[in-house]
Amino acid sequence: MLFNTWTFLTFALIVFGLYYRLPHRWQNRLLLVASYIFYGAWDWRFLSLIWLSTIVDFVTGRAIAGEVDPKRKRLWLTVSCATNLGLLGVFKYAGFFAQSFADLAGVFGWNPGIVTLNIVLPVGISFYTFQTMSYTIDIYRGRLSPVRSFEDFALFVAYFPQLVAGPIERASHLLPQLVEPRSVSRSQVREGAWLIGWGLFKKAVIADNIAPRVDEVFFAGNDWASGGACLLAIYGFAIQIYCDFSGYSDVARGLGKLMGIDIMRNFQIPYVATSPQEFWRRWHISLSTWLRDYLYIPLGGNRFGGLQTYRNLMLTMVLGGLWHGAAWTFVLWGFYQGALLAVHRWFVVDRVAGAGTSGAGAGAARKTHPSKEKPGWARLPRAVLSWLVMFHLVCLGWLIFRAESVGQIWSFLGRIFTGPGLRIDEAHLLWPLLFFGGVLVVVDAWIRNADDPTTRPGWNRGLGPIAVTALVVLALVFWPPRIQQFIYFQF
Amino acid sequence: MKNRALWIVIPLLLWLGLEMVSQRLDQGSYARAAWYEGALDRSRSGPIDFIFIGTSRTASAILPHVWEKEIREATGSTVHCRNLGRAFSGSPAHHFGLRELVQRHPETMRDCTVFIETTHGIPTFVERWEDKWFFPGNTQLAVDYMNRSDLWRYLRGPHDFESKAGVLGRYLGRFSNLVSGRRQLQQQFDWRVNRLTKRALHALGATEPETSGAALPAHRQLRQDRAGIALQRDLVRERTSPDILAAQEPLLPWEHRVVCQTVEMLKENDVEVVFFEMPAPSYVDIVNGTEVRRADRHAFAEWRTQYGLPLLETDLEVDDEDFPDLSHLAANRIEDYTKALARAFVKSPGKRSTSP
Repeated sequence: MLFNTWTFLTFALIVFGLYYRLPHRWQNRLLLVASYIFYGAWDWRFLSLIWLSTIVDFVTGRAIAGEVDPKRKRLWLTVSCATNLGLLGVFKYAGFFAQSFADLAGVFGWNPGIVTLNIVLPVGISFYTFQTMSYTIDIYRGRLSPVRSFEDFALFVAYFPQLVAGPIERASHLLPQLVEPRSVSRSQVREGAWLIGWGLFKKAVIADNIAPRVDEVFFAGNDWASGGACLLAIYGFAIQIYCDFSGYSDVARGLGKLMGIDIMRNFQIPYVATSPQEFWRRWHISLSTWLRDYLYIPLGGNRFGGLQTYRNLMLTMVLGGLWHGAAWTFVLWGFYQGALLAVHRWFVVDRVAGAGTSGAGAGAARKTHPSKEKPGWARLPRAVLSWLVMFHLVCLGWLIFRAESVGQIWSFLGRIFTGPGLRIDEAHLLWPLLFFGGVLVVVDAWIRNADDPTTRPGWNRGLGPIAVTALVVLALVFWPPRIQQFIYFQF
Repeated sequence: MKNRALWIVIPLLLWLGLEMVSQRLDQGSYARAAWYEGALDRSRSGPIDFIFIGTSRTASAILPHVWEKEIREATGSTVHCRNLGRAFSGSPAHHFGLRELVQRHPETMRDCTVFIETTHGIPTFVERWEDKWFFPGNTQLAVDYMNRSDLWRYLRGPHDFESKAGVLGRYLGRFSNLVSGRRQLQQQFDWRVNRLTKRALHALGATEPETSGAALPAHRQLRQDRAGIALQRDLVRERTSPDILAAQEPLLPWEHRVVCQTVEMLKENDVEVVFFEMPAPSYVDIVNGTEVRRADRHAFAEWRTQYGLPLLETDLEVDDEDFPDLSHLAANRIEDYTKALARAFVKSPGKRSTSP
């Protein structure tokens, strides 16, 4: 059941119609049943995986909290992590690793005769397994008390607005909101309506209108596209994936607000980033903070400095890449992102800012960095250059992410650098990018990611109604002929 | 209070303005005026002697002015021809459009001959009422002339919830061009902006694509770029895959197909019907050469004979080079084809007299 369908609209109307009439406990029961219906609409068989994850983490969470012996606490945590990672391993990665092993063996002339089962990937498995793991890990770390009600916990795992494509919520943030009675304020209704509307617009109008053009160029076996078309397809994919994913997150947050529930922000205008570090503070925030808190920091983070920090960065990002999908292009993408972070850290943080000092000295050097002393206008060229470089580095990452094969990455790069011109018959690739990309830039620059657009300048002086009507008309006219699945559902 | 007024006045004015703009944009070969709406307008002022219905292949291959000239030269009569072939149209849409013409202008239609596209002796439109009535994104083609009982039939039919809701929404929004004509607007916008972009690229010195072989006709806005042609060719190749061929289902009984019911409806209203053979590339031999399709063809010929409906074939020789995208006839062959078809019609024994 996709957000941009009539089926979901009907489902949501029924759920909200009942929700506002029910007391708190029954609201949670309603949401739990609705969440299972929502998920079961894809494939009811995979509900069993959600139930397994729910039961195991509820039980292990209580067991960890009830144990005094650290070894036994660790044992219960291992059970929880092994179950969740085991589900991911079997349903997401088993086929990939088996096939990769068979391919590698084939290089050496050995045929291991591995039978790869074509297991269907359960929608959203990477999201809810990470979400439930954060619950048991936080209890283990003593940062969270186990929830008493199984119903509330089951709802935390399966809460439908963010079940299949995030944001990956933290138990410490979402669970208290589910446990306590909720009310919905007028501002939440306003924010919810805006987030749902703008989120759907980004997904259905911007992402889905650009997608066919991007697919056309990335189409396997395509060797006719010029370098200019390849470049446009990469820019197009940058817009598409942002609008597709942030659109989903916005709708999820908007639905939450209409229920009086705050879901964490997942995007913060990521393409304005001027460094890899900043990009990951703005892109898929719920995953990057999850990886930071539950992988990077436990690995040692930057506490030991030097090579260990780089190793931790690389390891975190490669696993982050693999989280996205079982394919070598995702591993390569993770490696690329890790390398960007490592190089940036080496060049800007350790080398330039540190200026040969370390520890507290580095912090002092950072404070007195000469660029900080310049007036705003003087910093502009450097900021623009940094942004331009970073944006293209991100785009290079998207090429790796989107490519059908590793060979296609080289093919695209070769064409871009040898013949960057656009042919006249490829004009149809250009205008959707300029038009829909333009709408995105204008609205994002004005609203600045605010949940409540009425706080933005001009909204109450006529710009609000003009913008909303224009967006409604654009949505009516450009609603795509075919409903496209959200990209992140496959993860 | 002032703020609330702004939220009423501005959207209303903006909507009305955009509605007017959209009406003005509704031009060209995607416009309603180029389809049944145009035929209905014409029927009010004068006769329509020939109507061609079919897919984008008919839309791009039949040149009405060439047909009119050929018939005039052969019979000495001035005739009016309408090509209502349309990309992504289906038999329900044509059924509703023709029904509208017959009901609103029965006298005009009595002098009209309707030509229906076939390939290898099998109609290109083979939907039943329980099948999809339209291609995704082309709901409006079926909804434009739908009446309340058609709507009810669709809503009760075995169609999925999404398409039922889409049809209902489009039906209720027929008063607004922004709602009901949005697909045409999209196509118009795409076409116009594309043309402007091409000009701009040309001015900037962008290179022309290397062309080889025949080109597709430009007048029906078929995709002519390499990407579009490659995609279309790929789509066509899929149809000859063994899995697809093995999954072919019989089209029998023909009486259940909408196209046959359209013919019956036209015959009941004394409208002449002729099937015409659209040239096709060699891959269609594979698709229509299966045992299942041979049986279908045989049964259709029997059904046609029972109603005394001719199947018009031309002496035009074609090969795969004449189909740049493996679907549509090349620009340099369409005039020959229209002429050949007109000649075949004139020679056919069952031809009708035309209006003076």
